[in-house]
Amino acid sequence: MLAAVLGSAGRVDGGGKHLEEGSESVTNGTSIEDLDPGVWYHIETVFGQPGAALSCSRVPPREIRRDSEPIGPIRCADAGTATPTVAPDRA
Amino acid sequence: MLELQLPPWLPTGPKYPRRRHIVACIASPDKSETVRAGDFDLHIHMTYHTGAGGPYTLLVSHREHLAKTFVDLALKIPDDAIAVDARESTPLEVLEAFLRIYGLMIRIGDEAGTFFLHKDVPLRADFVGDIVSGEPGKGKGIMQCWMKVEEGPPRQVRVAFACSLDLDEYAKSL
Repeated sequence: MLAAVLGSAGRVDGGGKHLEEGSESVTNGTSIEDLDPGVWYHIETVFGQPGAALSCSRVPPREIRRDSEPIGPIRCADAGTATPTVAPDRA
Repeated sequence: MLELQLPPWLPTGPKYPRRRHIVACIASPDKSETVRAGDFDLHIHMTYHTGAGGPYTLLVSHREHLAKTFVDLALKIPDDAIAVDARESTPLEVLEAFLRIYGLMIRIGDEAGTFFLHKDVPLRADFVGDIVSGEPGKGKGIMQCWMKVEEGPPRQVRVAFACSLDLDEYAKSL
């Protein structure tokens, strides 16, 4: 069973707990259409414990790089990371 | 002195990383790596230690914002818990090896894995469902994801970094 985090059908499940002060955040009831295209978001979800929560926040502006660093990986993901994988002890 | 904000889910107790060790790892890492997504940075540091249970690596990921250091992960990784030599590997290689064993599945669009790094995931025009979802384990777990939606065409999710961790299985490794 998958726990919905950010639903294209227009739902964000979870507690809507925001961890970063000063950031503009979205919370329960937010749909993908409400997210600004091209804006980075940080999603953190805690499963299976009291107070389990979701936060979905814009990456705060202070973290935005102002220089012209090129977009791209410092290290390419291995083939196994971009395709469905099952941890060995769960296979 | 770093003003440190630790994640509220971070387990505490004698077998888990202590605050001063996390600070030391950030301030004086043995190895560091930065995930750059063009407009923000995630820093991943490692320090090597020898404890009562044997050698281990402390791995910490963090971001800077408003003069605060936000820690996203702080993991104590015993050398014998992963299939790579931490001392010969990069922080991302160590984290990836750790997540192969203790990671939970994340689904982004039509793709799934325990670890995403600089991955563009196209969304089909008829895609219906959760753009980002995590699969809880039987117990406690956490998911971290940095992403943005690009309307395109093609419409896609650009993922800078995403991972999910089974905290109960992690606890058993310590």
